[in-house]
Amino acid sequence: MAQCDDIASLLGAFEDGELAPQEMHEVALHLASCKNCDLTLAAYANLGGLLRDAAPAPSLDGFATAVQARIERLRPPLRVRLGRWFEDLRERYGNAAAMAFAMGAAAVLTVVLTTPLARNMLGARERAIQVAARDAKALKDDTGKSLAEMAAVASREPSAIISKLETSNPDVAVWSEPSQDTTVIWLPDQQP
Amino acid sequence: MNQPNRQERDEAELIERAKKGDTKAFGTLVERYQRRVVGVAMAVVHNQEDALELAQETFVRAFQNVSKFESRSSFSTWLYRIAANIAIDFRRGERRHPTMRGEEAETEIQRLPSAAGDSFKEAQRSEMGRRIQEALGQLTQEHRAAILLREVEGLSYDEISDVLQCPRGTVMSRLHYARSRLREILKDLAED
Repeated sequence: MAQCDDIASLLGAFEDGELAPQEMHEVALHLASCKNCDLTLAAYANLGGLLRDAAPAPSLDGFATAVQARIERLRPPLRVRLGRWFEDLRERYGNAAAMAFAMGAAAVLTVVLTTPLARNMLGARERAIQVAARDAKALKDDTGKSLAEMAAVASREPSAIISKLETSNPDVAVWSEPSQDTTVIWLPDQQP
Repeated sequence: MNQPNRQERDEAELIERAKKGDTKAFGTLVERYQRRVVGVAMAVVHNQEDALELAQETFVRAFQNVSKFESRSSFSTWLYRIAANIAIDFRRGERRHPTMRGEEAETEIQRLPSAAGDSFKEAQRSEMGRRIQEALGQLTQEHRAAILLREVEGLSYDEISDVLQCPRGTVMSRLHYARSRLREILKDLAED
């Protein structure tokens, strides 16, 4: 039979009905023959009642109204605003017209976002040029390296896609990015 | 698989409407859960005024994020978790920037005879309430939150584990410690 020490830590969970069936059975068996643990269990049950009686019950008058006022003042997220706009269109022009309009808008958006123009608008071109200039300078500082090593140095920048790095002169770096229509030629400053 | 009952279907519909930005539908959910959300915040911060404020914040944040709610857990548990997180953050901030709290003043007010009557029974009850609050004050925040969520809010061990984001075994040991300690402090009351 289980000892009091083994049972003590299970008494609260027994009272809460949160033990596995096997453990419930074991504790019940122990309680039937142990007055001490039975008293502890009764004390725990008593404590629960005391805590519930003593729990303050804050007044909730006006609580829901205050929350409502706060959420009314929030700006709805873009998804919700788009949904409402679509609903509004549907009410005004009917389902088919609204659907056609929404699909047209989505198509225009897709075309705009997937063209090189859009990517350039999002700054890809400027970023590529900055990265190229920086890496070309790094290459110039290390002209003793082979082309393969130089390419490896240049490709450390994760946003740069280097298609071809060519130079026959260690003082000049030429970096071509056909996918971006970008070619960067780096020349050292003229010596006085 | 269990079929959702009428109340669950009704709740699911309210949530769907709230996701579309329907503040009135969300208001119904606020009314349904306000008492319990305040209770969860109370269990952590142990101060009525702060708990009401934090519960309001909980609902505002829940409304802002309701589109992210997926029915993997119940809506109530999701709400309680937000409430507990906000309350725990509040407590952390409070520890970093301690200010004069109204708790001592509140205790003093509780000691005064109430205007409603000074009968022996009422005085006894208020004395008992004071002692219980003091005993709870001697527990750590984690132990107090666990025991109040269980005994006052009636959350299951799994729900407490979810809300306080700790394993079920930790919930069991926290409850065991809290009960033993409270029984020790309130020996005369618990063993009456």
